[in-house]
Amino acid sequence: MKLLAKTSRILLGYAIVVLLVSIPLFYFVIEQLYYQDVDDALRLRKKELTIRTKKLHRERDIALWLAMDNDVKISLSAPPLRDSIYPKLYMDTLAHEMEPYRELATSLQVNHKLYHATIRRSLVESQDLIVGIAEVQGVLLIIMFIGWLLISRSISKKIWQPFDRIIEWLQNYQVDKEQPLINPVSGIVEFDQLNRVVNELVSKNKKAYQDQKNFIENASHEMQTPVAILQSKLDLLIQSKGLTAEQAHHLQSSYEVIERLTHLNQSLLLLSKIENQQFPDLVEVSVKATVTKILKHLEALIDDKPVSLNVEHHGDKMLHGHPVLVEILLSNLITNAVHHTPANGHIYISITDDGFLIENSGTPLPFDDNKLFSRFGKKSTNRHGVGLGLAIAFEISQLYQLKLNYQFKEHIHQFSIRF
Amino acid sequence: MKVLIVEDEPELSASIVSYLLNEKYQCDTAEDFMQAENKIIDFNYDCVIVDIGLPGGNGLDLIRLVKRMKKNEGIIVISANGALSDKIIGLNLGADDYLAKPFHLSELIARLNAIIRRRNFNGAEVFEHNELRVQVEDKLVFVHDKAIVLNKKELDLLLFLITNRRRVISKSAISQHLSQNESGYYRGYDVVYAHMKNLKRKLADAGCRDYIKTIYGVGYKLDCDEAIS
Repeated sequence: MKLLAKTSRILLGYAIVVLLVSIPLFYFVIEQLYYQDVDDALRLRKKELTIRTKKLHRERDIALWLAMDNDVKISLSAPPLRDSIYPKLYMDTLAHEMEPYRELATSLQVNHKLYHATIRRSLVESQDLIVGIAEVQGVLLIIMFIGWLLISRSISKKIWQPFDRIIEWLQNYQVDKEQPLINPVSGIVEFDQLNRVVNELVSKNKKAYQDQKNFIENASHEMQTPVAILQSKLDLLIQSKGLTAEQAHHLQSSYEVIERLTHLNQSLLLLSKIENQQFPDLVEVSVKATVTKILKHLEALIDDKPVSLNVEHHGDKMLHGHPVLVEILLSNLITNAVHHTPANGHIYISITDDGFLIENSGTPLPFDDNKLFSRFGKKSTNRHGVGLGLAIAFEISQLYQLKLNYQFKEHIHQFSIRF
Repeated sequence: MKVLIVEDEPELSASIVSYLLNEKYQCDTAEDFMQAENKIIDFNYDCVIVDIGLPGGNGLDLIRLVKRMKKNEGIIVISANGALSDKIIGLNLGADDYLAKPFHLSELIARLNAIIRRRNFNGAEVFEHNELRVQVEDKLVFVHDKAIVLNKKELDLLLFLITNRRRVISKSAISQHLSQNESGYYRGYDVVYAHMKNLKRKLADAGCRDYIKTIYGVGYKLDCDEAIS
């Protein structure tokens, strides 16, 4: 749920509650106010009656006077009454329905006689008024709320813009690419702070990445010379007269270790160079020609193993890239297949206009599929490989925006590149 | 043949010297830029082996010096930096070859021989041993004066053995030599075994005796002592 939707929803709930409570409350309050007003009027009327009736002396005058005012009734009464005001319904003789009234019951002294008087006042108009006012109030509240919603929505969009920018920037952020930092000024303290923190984090991250990369490069580099010395010493040692089988065996092991070290160094350097995009000279490289070249090199090996090889061309693709990298990509996949195909197994290669596919027979992977393309993700059982070949292939395919996929089914390993 | 080895690592320099001695080569060494500069100016060599990163200067400037002086030395660059761009810069300056560290001494001598051959023999070099005759530059192989057909890799392998004929070459060196100039990241000796098997078979089929000796699984040696005629 979006932040705006969440806050709006909570506020909407609150507004509805307020609206539901406020309309009857409002009605009630206005009603009370009005009643007070009416009651004051009734008391005023009583005072007026008291004053006016003082001038009446005859019973007939009183009757006549009373007949003039429909809202006042007087009757003889024995004990004096305390003033009381109460609501009462009366039948409207014209409309034939009960109508609400406020009534004041009191005692009046006329001609030394105590009368019981009731003075009433219709509430019909007031009720319509109160309902009307409550309605207007309700409508106003609703309009205010909708307005608030729209305004907050449009303001929020503007206010959250820097936030959206940061999110978008972070989504596109890649630690190995050179990118400008985000503009840290948005005018809103919280976002500026976020910007600053993100920038700091990214800078630290970038530095750590850079340091690590430099370390790998330097380490790989600096190792070349000692390895060269070691290898040259072995080249001399192997010349020794009277070399025994055991010594030769130790020598061979040392050669293999040096070779692995060299290969490891080269692979790490190659990986960091690919990541640094140090292969800028892009040309059109034919996939078909490259594959043919690689297969020619591996010919003796394939014949010797023996492995049956089936190559199908249904077209060709000119890849826009560095010829060395394209060759490494394809040769890593092909040598990988040759290496892992058991004797008398088969390899199938297909080249079409939009894809390269290589399949080889074999047993399932002894590790998780998704570790296949990761560096050192798999424990290599092969003494000669260092487990970086597929990682390099993957890195190159990433660089040239090719889709490199792997799947295994029915004892067939399949790698495919979609151009 | 005089060779100047410009390398600041004395151990590596000593190994190269040791490997090149007992050969047709006389070696001289320089450990820093100044020494190298002086020796290049003062003496004449057939080939200079130059490391790029040197105390006191850049090996590339030594190549420039040789070219400026219009001297006829062959130049092999050896560098810890195997980057393609560095290779291109070195070769563009006029170096004859480029070897990235670490390299096998057998590979260095093969490259050295190739340069000397190009400069001095004009392609006339011939290796002869009993029934086997190889015209190195023409890439022709004869057994009992009958030409035999070898593919490129097998020929490469035979020439590599011939170049290093007084020494044992490790499988590892052969593997690297055969896959040079190829970005193929295939490691392992299967390729070596396959080509070696084919080469031996072709020679044997033509009636050549087996001069290629296997040394305890660590390497091979071409077993003959005939000099180049």
